[in-house]
Amino acid sequence: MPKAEHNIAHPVGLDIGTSRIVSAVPAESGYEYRSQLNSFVTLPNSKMREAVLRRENIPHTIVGPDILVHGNESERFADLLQIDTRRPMSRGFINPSETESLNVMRQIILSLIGHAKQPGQRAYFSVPAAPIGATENLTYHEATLNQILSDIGYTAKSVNEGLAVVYGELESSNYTGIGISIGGGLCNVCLSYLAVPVTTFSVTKAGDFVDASTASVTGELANRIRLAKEEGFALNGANTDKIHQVLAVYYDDLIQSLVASLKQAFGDPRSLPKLGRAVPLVLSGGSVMPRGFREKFEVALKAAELPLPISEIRLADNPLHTTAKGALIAALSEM
Amino acid sequence: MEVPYQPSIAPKTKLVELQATRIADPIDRLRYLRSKATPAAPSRFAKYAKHKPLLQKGLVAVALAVIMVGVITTQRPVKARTLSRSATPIATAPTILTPSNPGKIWLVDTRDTGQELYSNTLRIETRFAIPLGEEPKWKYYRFGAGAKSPAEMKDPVGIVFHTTESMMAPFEEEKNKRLKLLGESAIIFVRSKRAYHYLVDRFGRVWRITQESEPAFHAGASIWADKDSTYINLNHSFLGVSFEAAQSHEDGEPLITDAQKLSARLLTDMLRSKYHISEKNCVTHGQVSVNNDNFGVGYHTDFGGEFPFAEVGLPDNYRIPLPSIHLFGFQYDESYLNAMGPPMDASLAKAAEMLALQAKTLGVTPAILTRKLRDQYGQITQSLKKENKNEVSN
Repeated sequence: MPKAEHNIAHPVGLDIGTSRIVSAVPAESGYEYRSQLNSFVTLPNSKMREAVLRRENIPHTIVGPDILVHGNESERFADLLQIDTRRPMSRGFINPSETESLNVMRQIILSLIGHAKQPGQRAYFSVPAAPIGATENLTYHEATLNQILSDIGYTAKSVNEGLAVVYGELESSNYTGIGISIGGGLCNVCLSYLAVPVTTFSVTKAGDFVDASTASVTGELANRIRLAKEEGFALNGANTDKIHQVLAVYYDDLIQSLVASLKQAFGDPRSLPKLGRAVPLVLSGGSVMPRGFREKFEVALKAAELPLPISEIRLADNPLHTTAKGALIAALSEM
Repeated sequence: MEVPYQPSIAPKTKLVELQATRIADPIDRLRYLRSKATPAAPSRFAKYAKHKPLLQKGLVAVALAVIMVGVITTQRPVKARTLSRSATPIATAPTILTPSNPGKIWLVDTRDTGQELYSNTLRIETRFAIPLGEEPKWKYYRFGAGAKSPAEMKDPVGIVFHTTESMMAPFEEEKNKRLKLLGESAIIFVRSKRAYHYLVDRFGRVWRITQESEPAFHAGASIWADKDSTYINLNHSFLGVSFEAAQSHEDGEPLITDAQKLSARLLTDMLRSKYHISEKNCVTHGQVSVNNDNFGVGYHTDFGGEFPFAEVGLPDNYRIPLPSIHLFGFQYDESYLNAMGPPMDASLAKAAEMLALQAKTLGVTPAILTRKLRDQYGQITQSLKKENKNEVSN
């Protein structure tokens, strides 16, 4: 492949998540991913501080008397300054209480994919499904992201997050099966039959719920909980650490809630297509990563006795990148 | 909960699914399935489509107004960490890059000395070319999806790369005389057999052997497929380009010289430009050759796993699942694996996976499906044999 050909404006896939924004672009040997935390911290503005940030190449934006440090660097600054990061999104949607949401997300998206390399370059972004049992309106969230991407030159189109998981992982079953993304804010579920979404919904318990609940019970800071999750937490062993024990309890709650929702959604065989065979189920997203998650989920799902037969339950190849990959595949399939 | 589709909206027939399982590229397969799906239920935005930009701007403006008076919340992000690869299906790295397009390449000059000059610097030696008109009109044909009889085509749709497997001398200046002699012998031999359309000698000179509009008997028992069609007996659909080379070359020495690689790039670009040939239809004889007697792939294994696809300006086509396996139930053995090496591993695994998926879709065992596919292939080749009874086999 000549270099010149490779540099033309390929489509972009974006996973716009509560915790992270991940981009995917075609690359020589498959796909290339980049990711930034979807968070920021605010520092008082001063010329010296700004100069230091610029010199250190730390992504930031000046907003009146403040400097906003966003993306991956925000976490480091939060730790250094003993402050909390702010989040442009909450529970899967743009955070209506955060004044800087749009500005920060625009900057993070720019840092990942830049301006469109040519007019009309495609950018497909993930959107959640409506939460089960809720009347959440997705219109604002979807239209806002569309606008941000249009402003930086892209022709934007949304793709359901669960369906993106199907596109990213279930090629070997002709895009038939259940894709589940368990991120920070939501669990997104999609049952697809030959690439057509049959049922999509989301559940409002996900990684943030586990962290916040554990923090409130243990009295620890959320930061400490997150570190504890990363330091060898597993769902398939005896946890002696108190935080790990509480985390296991809330992970169990998350899994039970998700399984209950699956049973509610797929419980009525009349609303399901006659597939004639068992379908695979794939789990993705940052919250499926503790060891033993898949096994625990499988036990819970078997106990629920879904009327929809499941052939296998597996983790995505790379759970953090699946949604972005699926969004990119959706874009490529429309070229 | 959104329940936008009723079961009847999904693609209805097994045929659609079966056809999808025969498309190797995941993007092409998704595109096909989406094209066959009955239009989805109207999007919730559909009724606003006409006014969408206005709607979006309005919504953003309202949102901005709302969040300007909002309360700042502080929550910690969930930090991610890496996970070792779990049990997953066979890797299916798709060939997703935008197809390379060599652009327009044209004949600049035809010289009296027997040379053609092309706009990309390609020079084709025509002194030994078999003159036009010695053969009756040649038919190019293909098989459409599910078709059992061929459909005629105007032009070739692909290129098969071969090695001459002729006698070699060390590629050294002192051996110049012998290298030239061996090259000329190879030309005379392949010309007598109408074996290829082009031969690239070790100095990178491109020799026309057979006119592109006439047959070269380079790949008789052979199979390939792209997303639209299947090709059986590639003498009738692909051009043959051979390189003066032998697979039994010394360890550490490249199979073809740098000059040959350069010429391969220029010639491939010219042919692709002239006939609008897909990059995925530029493959080696080792990938397309079959043995019709024992349903084995790789009767010939030209190039093994050593064809320099990248240097010829092509994607790694070794990754494409062999159509002979997943469309007609051919099989490979240890000797094929040894000859082709690791570059073919992904292709073979993917082809087996596709065959298994088809069997699952049809509700039969892979063994039964294999028999059925072989029967179909047998019927096709029998009818082709009658049509091409005067053809030289290869």
